This record gives sequence, C-alpha cells and structure tokens, in this order.
Amino acid sequence: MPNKTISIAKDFSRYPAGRFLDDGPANGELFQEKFLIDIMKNNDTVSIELDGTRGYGSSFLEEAFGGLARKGYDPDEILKKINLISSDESLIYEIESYIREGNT
Amino acid sequence: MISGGSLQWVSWIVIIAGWWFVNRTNNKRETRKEQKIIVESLRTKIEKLTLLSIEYHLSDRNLHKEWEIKRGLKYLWADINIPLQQIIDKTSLTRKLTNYKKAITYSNFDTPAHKKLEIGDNDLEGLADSSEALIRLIENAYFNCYHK
Repeated sequence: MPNKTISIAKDFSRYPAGRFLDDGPANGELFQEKFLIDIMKNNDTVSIELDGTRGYGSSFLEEAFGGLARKGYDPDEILKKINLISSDESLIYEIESYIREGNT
Repeated sequence: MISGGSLQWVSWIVIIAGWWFVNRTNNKRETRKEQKIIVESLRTKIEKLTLLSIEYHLSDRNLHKEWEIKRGLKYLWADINIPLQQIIDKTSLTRKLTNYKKAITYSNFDTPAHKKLEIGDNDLEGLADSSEALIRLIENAYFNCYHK
C-alpha cells in the first residue's frame, strides 16, 4: 500500500512542459530530480496523481519516467515503487511504456 | 375449451410483448443514431487537432498552439471512451491514442529548440498516419457493432 501521494498539479506544476532544464521551469528532468529519484532511493511506494494539470506532452513524460530507466533503475522496480493514478488510462499506459522502453 | 378469460390474457401478453419488442427496436435505433453522431463529431475533433498540430510543426514555435494541442489531447480519452465504451476495444484505443499523442508531442514540442518542419517530413507523415489509425478504430467500432 503506497505511503504517500504526490500530485503533479499541486506539488510540482499545473503546466508541466518540456524535457530538459532549458525547455522551461516545469520540465521532465526537473520533476525526475525533485521527486522520482528520491522515491527510487527510499523503500516506500509512492502514488503519483497525474490529474489536475493542463495536460502533458509526451516529451515531459518520457524524460521524467523513461529517464529513470536510462539512469539505471530497473523498470520492474520502478513500476513496483510508483503507483500511477489518473482518470485517463491511456496516460498510465503511456508512462508505463516509457518506463519499460526507457533504456532501449 | 379456451375460455374468454384465457383469450383476454393471451391478448394482453401479445400486446405487452409487441410493445416490448417495438420499444427495444426503437431504443436500439436511437442509440445507433446517437453513436453515429458521436463518431462523426469525434472524427471532426481529431481532424481539427491533427490540422492544428501539423500547422504547429510547420511553423515557428507558438505557445498558444502548444496549449491548445495539450488541452485537446487531455480530454480525448474521455471523449472517446465514455460514450463508446460498450463498442470499442479499450486496449486498442489506449495504444492508438498513445501513438497519436506521441506523434504530436514526443519531439519538437514544448521546447525553445522547436524548428519548422517541411511538408513530407517523416514525423508529419507519422502524425497523419496515427491520426487516421485512431479515426479508423473509432469508425470500425461503430460499423462492426451496427452494420455487421
């Protein structure tokens, strides 16, 4: 059972956009550094609430979540620790595909 | 010998069965008409979003278009899945919708490094193809349900 919930809209930005630090203030690389790396370093499972933002570009999602696999984290381990919550099932599917394919 | 009372019961049963059958047929026809309208409106919506996306990639970066595109994509899952969930395969919908979103926003999007693409660029062809695949999925779901 996840111990904590992170809401991207409330805890990070309602306007996530872009991959890298140069792309803007709420980019995927920054989200990964601020939240996801910590999750992977701790033992807890964390829920990430995806709803409430103004929408996501695939570039943001791929860099944030797929980038974890590129940093060497095992995709199965990532999927165990991160519980994605959204009313949009295609969003969850998309992120999970980036996690699995991130290091290919 | 069949009594008058029994015949009356039979008449009522025939009337009620007839009403039930006609009502059911009417409801099916109305549902089919409603879903046809929904399918057509989804086609229009996706085509508009595709055109906007192609314009975006053929032009200098436009923040308003980025906002409009993300907004359009955000609601697409619910717009398709909620009214058509009885007739559309969810797994196929998830895949085709994800491919469509990726085709628009995976690269050259949400970045100052955005550049104008040329007509015929592979990424634009991919965008058009994924749009058509999504529309076909929706239309096939309708036709397979009501016209097979």
